[in-house]
Amino acid sequence: MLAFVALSAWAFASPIGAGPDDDYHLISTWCAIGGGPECQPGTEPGTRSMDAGFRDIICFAGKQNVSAACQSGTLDAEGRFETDRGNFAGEYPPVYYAVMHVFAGSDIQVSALTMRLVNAAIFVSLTTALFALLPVARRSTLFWGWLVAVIPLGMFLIPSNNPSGWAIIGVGTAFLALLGWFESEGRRRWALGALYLIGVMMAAGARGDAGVYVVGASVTASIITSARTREWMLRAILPLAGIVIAVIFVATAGQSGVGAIGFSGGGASNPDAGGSTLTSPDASLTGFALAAYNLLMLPYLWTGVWGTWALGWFDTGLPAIVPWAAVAAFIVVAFAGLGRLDWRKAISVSGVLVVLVVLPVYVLTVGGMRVGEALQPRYLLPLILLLSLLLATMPRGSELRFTRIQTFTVLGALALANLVSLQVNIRRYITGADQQGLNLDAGAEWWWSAFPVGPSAMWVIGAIAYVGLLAVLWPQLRRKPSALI
Amino acid sequence: MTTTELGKTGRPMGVASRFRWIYLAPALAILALSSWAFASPIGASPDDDYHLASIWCANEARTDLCAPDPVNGEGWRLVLPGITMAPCFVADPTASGGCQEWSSEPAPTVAADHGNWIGAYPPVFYAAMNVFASTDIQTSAIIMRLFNVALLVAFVTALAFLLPAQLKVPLIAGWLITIVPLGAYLIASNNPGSWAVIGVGASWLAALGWFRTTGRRSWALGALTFLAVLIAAGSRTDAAVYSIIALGIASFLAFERTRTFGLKLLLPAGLVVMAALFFRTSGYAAVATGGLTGGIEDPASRDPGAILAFNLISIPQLWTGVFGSWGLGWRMEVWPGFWMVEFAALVVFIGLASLGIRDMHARKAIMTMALVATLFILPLYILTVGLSVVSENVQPRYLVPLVVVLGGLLLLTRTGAEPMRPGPWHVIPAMVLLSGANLIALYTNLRRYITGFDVERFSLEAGSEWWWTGFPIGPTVLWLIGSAAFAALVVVLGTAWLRDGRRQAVSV
Repeated sequence: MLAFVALSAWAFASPIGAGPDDDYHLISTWCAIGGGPECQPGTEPGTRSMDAGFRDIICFAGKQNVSAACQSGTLDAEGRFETDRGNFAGEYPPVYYAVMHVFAGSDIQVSALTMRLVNAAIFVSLTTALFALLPVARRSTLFWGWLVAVIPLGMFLIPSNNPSGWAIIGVGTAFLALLGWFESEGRRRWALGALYLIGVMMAAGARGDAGVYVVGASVTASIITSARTREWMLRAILPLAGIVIAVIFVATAGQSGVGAIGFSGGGASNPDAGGSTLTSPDASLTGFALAAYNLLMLPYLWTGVWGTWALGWFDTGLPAIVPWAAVAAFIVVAFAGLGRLDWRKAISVSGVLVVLVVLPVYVLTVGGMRVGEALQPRYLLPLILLLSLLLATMPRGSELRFTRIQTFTVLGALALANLVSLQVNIRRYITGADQQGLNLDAGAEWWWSAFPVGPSAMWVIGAIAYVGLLAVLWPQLRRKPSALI
Repeated sequence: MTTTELGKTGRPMGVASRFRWIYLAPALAILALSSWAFASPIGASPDDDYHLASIWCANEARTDLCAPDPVNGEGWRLVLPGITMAPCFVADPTASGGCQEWSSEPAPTVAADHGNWIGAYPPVFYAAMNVFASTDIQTSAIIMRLFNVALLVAFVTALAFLLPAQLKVPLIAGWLITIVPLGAYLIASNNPGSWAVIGVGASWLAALGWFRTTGRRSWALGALTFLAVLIAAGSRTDAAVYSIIALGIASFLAFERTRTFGLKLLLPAGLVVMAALFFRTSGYAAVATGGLTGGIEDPASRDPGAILAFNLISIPQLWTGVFGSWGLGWRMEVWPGFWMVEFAALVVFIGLASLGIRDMHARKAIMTMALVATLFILPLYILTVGLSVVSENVQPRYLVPLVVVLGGLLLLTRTGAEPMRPGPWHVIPAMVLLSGANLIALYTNLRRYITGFDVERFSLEAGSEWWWTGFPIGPTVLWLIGSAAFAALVVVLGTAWLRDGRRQAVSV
């Protein structure tokens, strides 16, 4: 419940269209399964005639000082326009858009908000189900793994209209559920198996790359639990099926072409990380030099997940304290997890690490681009989540436990990062980043019309709910091993 | 003979070889840091025109190095040509050290008004460095850098011999996890920041050892404490304050209600007075009340509330600067490749620190919180009072001395307990990450000055625009030697740490 409130605050914290490429995703959602009154066939096969309300939905994108007030009046504009920006040629797998289409109605704002809340609810219910079903020893994996990987980018994406949200939820759920599938018995086990398939469908049905990641999640979970027994072999049929499903999705989605040729052009602008970033002159790097450059700048992509990259359309720059706190929390948990390795975990962790290094460097270098262009941290977030979950997976006989001070430090850092990033995010859409100040209500240029909770209240509620969530989790996180049996 | 005896008892040769390898550590440290000394041209560290002029002018009797300016009078000096122009490359990250010009027969002819004859800094560092000053500016400056390197290694080695076993982990590991890349760069420079880092970093452990040991050992540590505070407080005004903090931490940690403690407290108390005197007599003390305001256009237009709010949430940017989120050199602009340096160094620091907070006894907790609060509030205060925002005026290098202390403090275990002993899967990744960070940082630093960042090639020799004349070692070889020496140092110390842990585990 608290998790839902905390996520919902994020859902309300940004206007419709605030997620990266959300114009594309929103139109794709409305046009899924044959479209509706808002989405009619266009003059050509690759275009659609859209309700005019979608035209200026991202009027603030990339302009950090422009508030979301520019949307006012445009969402219920009369008329139609034709666009080719949408999932009309099957670049993305269809499942996400099809499911979200259920909530698509004539009021764009209400529909989109509903979708965000539904996504938050899906995440919370899946996680709750996992909590109930997983073996007790795996609960700390569930909590720690998720907690340190999703602030702030995950918190922004999960309750959004962006398929990246499902990619994250799906990969994490699939990994945990599969662990449980191998490690529990009876009805529990079948329920976990079902959750695994849901996770696979969500990830592979949302984004092509998430399909690949969910294969990674399946493989690593299988390695971690592997045993040379008939029993294990039999159970391994499920991940095999999951992998087949994922592969089918990936194979049919056009996006996977990226894997072979890299991204081409049209990259996102390099977010201004603050300070005087030294970007080299236009000298075009090639081959080895470019690969080396990308390799050395790679952590910038990773830490983007924790806030070194701006949120939204790279226009919501976060202050230094957010990435600092969030990265520190991750490192503490990861380092503790690293201390307990058996060979299975070592193989899985190094496998994911290698992918985290090779994939972005390869894709960027083949596409002739540098870190900062095209490839965004959100694409890597499911992988980083997987790494985090893996590191928090303790080999049999040992447990991930922290002293009271360690726990307090980590949770405090997370709460701080959430508090600050939520405020900055709301601020950016209320007035634009050109105005600052603690009070979000003062001088607000944008807010949800007819919504009873004001921006400041929303911020406070969201931040408190998150702290409350951490407080509720505290006894779970601090559980003594003896209490497990 | 010892070796064979050990061999007979079935104990592996390990014990004997451990001693041999670890004895190499000081030499490796000197090698690794010396390569940093050679990795940047004269004048490369922040405000070096001021510091170099101050060093050369620190002894009025040496008129061949620095003379009074008869034309401009008070506040001016005539310095050697080359000194004021040494930092010709700082404004442009694509410019190399090749713009420097050195006179073949230098005499003090160039008027300068930028130097410590105005008394802004404490005099000790400049006076000591003046001993090495000559008309051959480059050679003298390099000797000074190497002297500073030797000074650090001497301090750490002496402490490693004298301190009780429990304090050796905070000493060695505390230094190692905090000096890549900014600390290493500063220590091997002509900047008084070098002495600030060495002195403050050494003083708290020396003082703690002074309290916790007896007899001659204790006196030796007391002498080291005195030296450490002297070089810290004698180099920079802020380091005088830091060394007071360091002494306070040591005294608080060692506090007990005994007559011995009371008597021993006299030394730090005396040193605090000495540091306070240095602080009061130097011109920079005004910063404490006026903040830093340099280089801000139209400060009146800024809203103090907004500045406070911004600084409040941006201070960590100064902390990560210690690990490479700010580049090295004057402006500390972001350097290419430093993302990896920062990430690696930060992972090691936070990772080991997180193990350190497992053992959080009351005194350590109080001191850690106080130190972190200082690291937060001090820059916040100085910035906000001066209406500056993070990235202006206050640079991460000012914080390095305190971060070194924090690193050691976090790794400290409670009195009488075993030293902290992480497992192999903590130490090995840390060794790899630290060596990697140093390797990349050293390379980038060389690249910065050999050609500037406009050249993006692997070979440091190709198209080189600057290197030491008459120096037999080329940049690539220097880079390899320095990186290998640092990696070897980390490995030697890391394995010794691990082996120590295993021996303990066996004996327990």
